[in-house]
Amino acid sequence: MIAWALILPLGAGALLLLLERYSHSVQRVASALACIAGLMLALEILALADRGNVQVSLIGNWPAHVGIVLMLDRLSALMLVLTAILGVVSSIYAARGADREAPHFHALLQFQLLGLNGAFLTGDLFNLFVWFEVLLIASYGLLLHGATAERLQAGLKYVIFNLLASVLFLMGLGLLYGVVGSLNMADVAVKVTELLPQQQALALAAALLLMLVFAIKAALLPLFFWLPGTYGAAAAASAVLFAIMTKVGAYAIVRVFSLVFPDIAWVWVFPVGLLTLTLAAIGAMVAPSFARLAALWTIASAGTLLVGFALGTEDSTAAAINYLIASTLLGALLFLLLDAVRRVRIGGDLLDRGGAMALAKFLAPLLFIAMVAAAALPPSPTFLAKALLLSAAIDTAQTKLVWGVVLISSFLLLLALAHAYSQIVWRRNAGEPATDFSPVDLVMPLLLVVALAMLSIHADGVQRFTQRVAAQLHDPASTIEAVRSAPIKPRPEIAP
Amino acid sequence: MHLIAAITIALLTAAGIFLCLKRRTFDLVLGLTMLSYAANVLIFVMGRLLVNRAPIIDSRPLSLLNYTDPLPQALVLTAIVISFAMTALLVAMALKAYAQRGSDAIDGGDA
Repeated sequence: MIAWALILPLGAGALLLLLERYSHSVQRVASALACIAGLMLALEILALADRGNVQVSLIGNWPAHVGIVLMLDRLSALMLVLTAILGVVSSIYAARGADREAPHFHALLQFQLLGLNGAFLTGDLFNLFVWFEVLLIASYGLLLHGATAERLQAGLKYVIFNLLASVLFLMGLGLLYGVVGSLNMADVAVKVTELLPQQQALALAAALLLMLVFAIKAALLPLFFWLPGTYGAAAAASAVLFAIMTKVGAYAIVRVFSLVFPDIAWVWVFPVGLLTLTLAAIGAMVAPSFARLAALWTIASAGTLLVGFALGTEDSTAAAINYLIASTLLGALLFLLLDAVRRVRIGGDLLDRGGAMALAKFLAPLLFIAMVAAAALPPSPTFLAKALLLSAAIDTAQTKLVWGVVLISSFLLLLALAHAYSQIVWRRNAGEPATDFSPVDLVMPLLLVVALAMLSIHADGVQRFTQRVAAQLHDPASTIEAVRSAPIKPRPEIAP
Repeated sequence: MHLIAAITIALLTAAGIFLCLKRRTFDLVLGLTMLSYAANVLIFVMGRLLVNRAPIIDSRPLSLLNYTDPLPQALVLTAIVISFAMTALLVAMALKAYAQRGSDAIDGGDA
């Protein structure tokens, strides 16, 4: 069952490569169908995971500490569903033309979904590295499509930065294997506690190298300079999937460091998360364009998320997961609307000048809702998540610090978003802008708005679910036990 | 033997980092290649350096005294393939960027 989340996008991607000799509409229908099937499968998997047991699948029927393990808990199932939703949005939105200028767009999209699903499901550190590379190489293709000078410029830095991160990842894995003798997350978690003190130091160094790599993916403080240029340059259909790429880094931090070295990692993540949030909010105040603003908002949301996880109580983890759901969907919505603004406004997405905007009566309300949600004002789901985060912080020692930083940065973001909205929608110059945009293109943003509204309406159900996710994360012993004791199927005797 | 391996890894890493700090993509590609060599050798060494031990099981008794650890060799093979492909992609992108801008500097300025 779990493995189908990998087989489906892999098969669909391969099939889409074969379908490239046919017309675009055949490819689009096939890609959208594959994504919708993926979403249904992800929902099914979520229902399976919500029964409470950690599902373990031994690939190739090797014992967990030797072979590769797929493990499914509530958090990974939730990430699969979010990925699948963004996959549907991206594949359908691409049909407005992005897939014409990009060779192999739909196949690359499926391969990126494959990489994301693999990263969320794997229980093996080296396998995590491999899935990271799968999703990265697909994202290079999606980012570079068209190969305009701007995209090439941003893409070159993105590729170089991620190559460096991959090398560090490998070095961390090598050191960890040398000391611990295993790369299975659950196995490492047990074996690390049995090490001699002098070995502990080396294992810790390896773990912090891994932390550095995940922090690059999650765009934490000193490591986020690649993000604004990259995300701003990407086409909307690919930027939608990039909304979950920073979450992969955050997920990897949570997944690995809730099992291995739980005490040490969060000490680092907490201040870095707060600083990331502060700096991103200040940056948003002076963002010259909507693209920059949306990218900085993504960074701020990654910071908020990790502060929630780093607080370490069950309530704060639940609040962080709540925020994760809302901010992933909202990030995708912001990048779709960015694309719309760029198409219908004379000044593009630049905020320092006015510009006539076509179709304002369709676009402005959606933009308004997105801005309200991004500023975490009620009744948006981000508001609820942030309120839960603040109330969870009351029980911890860092109440004043968290309240201060989160509230002030939220205020700065609110100012920046209000300024951006008024510049884009209200400050108009004369002139009739040419447009290749129609109201039909707003269907996908509208769908995301409906999804966000559903999160608000069913807030109690979502909150209860996130509590269950957090409870499972705070019980690493049962996850470790489930993986280590996963039974091997009896092998058929092979005649010699 | 361990000392030589350690010094090799250190030198490769140092040279790699030095080259990565330069502005031209050509230097960067070389630097990244050296860094990935360093990572590959590191993983290989982490399976312990043993002479004349194969990772393939034969008539000798099953113990790490008689065989070398096969897992790092499998890991390093994967790592080599991936870093090779990534480097090839980076070279292709760097060439395209060079053709478009006439400059090899990463930020597009004069190199």
